[in-house]
Amino acid sequence: MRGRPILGFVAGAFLGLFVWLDLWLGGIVPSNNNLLLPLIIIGAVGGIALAWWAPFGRKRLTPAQPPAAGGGEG
Amino acid sequence: MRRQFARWTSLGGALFMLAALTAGPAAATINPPGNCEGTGDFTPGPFIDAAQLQPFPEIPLKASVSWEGAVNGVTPPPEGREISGSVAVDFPFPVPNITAGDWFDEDATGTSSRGTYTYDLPSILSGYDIVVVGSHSESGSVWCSGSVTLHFEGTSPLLIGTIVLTVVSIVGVGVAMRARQL
Repeated sequence: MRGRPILGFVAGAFLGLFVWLDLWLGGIVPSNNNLLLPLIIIGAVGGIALAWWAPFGRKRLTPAQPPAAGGGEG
Repeated sequence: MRRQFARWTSLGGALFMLAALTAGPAAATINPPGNCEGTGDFTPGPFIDAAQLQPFPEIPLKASVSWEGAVNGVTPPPEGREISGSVAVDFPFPVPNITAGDWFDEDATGTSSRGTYTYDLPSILSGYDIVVVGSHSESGSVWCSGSVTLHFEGTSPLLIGTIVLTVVSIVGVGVAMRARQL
């Protein structure tokens, strides 16, 4: 784990909440739409998962090889 | 990078499709049908019959409404009977419903009522669907229940705020994905 799972949990849960509010206040879903809790859970779990797997697309640094001892030349 | 973008847009599209499929039309229901009835004549605005299942038109934020309500199939005794009921704004779990009004009478003799109500609501209520649920009880047992979806004209002024907070949350998830300094 290289990311911040607690921050991912909190930010993901709030992301789910605000996406639901966007959908409701945008007139897409009514006030009693049952997507609220699933979106919060998906956001929280997704936030933890992303923090767990982060960072993406970056190769792990391998320790530098020490220079070979002694001179093999000559 | 292109594959990641496609993955995220697919996820977003799936969420919005799910929301669109689970969104009900703006309409009214009464259960059982015929036990109760209610109408509202908005000035300015539309005439609404709660028994109609078709989508409701938008309601003005400022209007005067002549309303009528009745319970059918009830023959009240001369000494009256107990009635009660309530209406509330319906929210999904875990948000509790907000009771907008209730009534109770120990010796009611009437089965209908009518009146005129003038209102002037703030623009904060405009632009989104508000589901109001209600029930009416006769002598302690539910006689009818129903729901009405209200949609006030205009665009919600709160929407821009929630969009900003959504972006802030996305940034928060992005920060959570950054590698910690070890």
